Amino acid sequence: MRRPWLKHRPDHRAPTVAWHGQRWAPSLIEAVANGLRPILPSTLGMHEVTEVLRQASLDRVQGLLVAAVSEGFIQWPEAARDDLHRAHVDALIASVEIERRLVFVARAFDNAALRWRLLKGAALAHLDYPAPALRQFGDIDVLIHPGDWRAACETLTKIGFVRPSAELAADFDIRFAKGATFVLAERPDIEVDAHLRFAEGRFGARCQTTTLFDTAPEHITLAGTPIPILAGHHRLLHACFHEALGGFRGLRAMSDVARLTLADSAPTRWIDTVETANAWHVEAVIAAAINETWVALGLDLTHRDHPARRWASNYAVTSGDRRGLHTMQASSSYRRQALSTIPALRGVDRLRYMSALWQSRRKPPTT
Amino acid sequence: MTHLARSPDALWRAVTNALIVATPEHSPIVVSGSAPAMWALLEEPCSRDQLAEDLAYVFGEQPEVIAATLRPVIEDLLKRGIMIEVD
Repeated sequence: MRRPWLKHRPDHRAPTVAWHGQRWAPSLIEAVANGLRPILPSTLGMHEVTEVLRQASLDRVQGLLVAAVSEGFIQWPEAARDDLHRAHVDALIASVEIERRLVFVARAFDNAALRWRLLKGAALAHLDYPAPALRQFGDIDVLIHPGDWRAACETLTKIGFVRPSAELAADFDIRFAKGATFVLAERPDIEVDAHLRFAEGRFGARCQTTTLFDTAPEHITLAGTPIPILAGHHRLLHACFHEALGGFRGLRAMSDVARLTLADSAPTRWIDTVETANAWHVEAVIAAAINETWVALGLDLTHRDHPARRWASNYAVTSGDRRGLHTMQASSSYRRQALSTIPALRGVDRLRYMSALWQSRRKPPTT
Repeated sequence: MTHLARSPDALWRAVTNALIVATPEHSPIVVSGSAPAMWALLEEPCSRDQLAEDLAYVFGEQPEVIAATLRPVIEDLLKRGIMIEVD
């Protein structure tokens, strides 16, 4: 198959490697890179563990930290072992609780014959990590087929979820939005992020998520309920969007990108990912995610010549895409991110979008 | 003879010294001690006696001591629908 986008371009400039100004403890980076490359052992003192555990909890990589300690790569003070164990168990309780709620959502969606896919969270934990306990999550992310969006919103409402932020304008969701967040009325800490697109702004407007439903889903089964999941190369596509544009949980997002790219069972998965990205004109997102992941996790030590890394580091990012990445990565305001959508829109859609934004006085969506 | 098995409804994570387990109808609970080892052995259904013998071998205890410790845990997990009995 001819893949013209795989050609290296002579005027390449790799995207700037920066992750929202975040910096992590070196030992935590080693823990996240465990299983991806040889790990540099470290010994932590009592004065360090509080900060390392705080960072691990913030980025939801407690499982990877515990694994690195258990395997002896990180010497963790005996006096702080209970804190580490407790943090991991608490995170796993949250993950299991989310899976429990997911079962009800899945059954309701299936009863309504909706077209949907589970994103991130339980999907990656069960399919892309050596053990589900290594990958923590705290909400339910689903991709909804645009043709079933209204029905999906109604279904979530019927099973007890509410939407705190109303739609900006009639049909705004379908035309422009990344999606909507729903919370369980009886437990507002249980969230369903229903997605129509993978991002806000310039790159979100280019997402043709309807096409993802043309590929047969993979499945996991939870409590006897089959859960449809994006195909592997589409999981990597979404992971790259989340890493490059998501703005939170940096180490976990990079871990996802790395494990999906380097999976022994799917060595050419990334090529199919780039093929889809090429059709959507979002290759800059994939290149940024891979480059940032490789640098931050030190994967060049053993995977510098991986073809995905070579492609990403040679990919020529246009000045417009570079600005689009920067807008999202600089944690700009929602309005600033949303405004980056405008150049991607045409004609009447551009006017509708601007009108809806400017008439809005409400808080931005939180997907 | 009836055997014990994991319920197909069980949602769980097992780590070194804790089993976190729930069903769609019940919130997660944490079972510590030998629970992760017991859960691992229940990947295949097995009798209570066999379960106690296997755990006794793992932990270097007498089977009757293990069986007495396990009894209330098993009853609780059966009641919650996390474990089931199969023929």
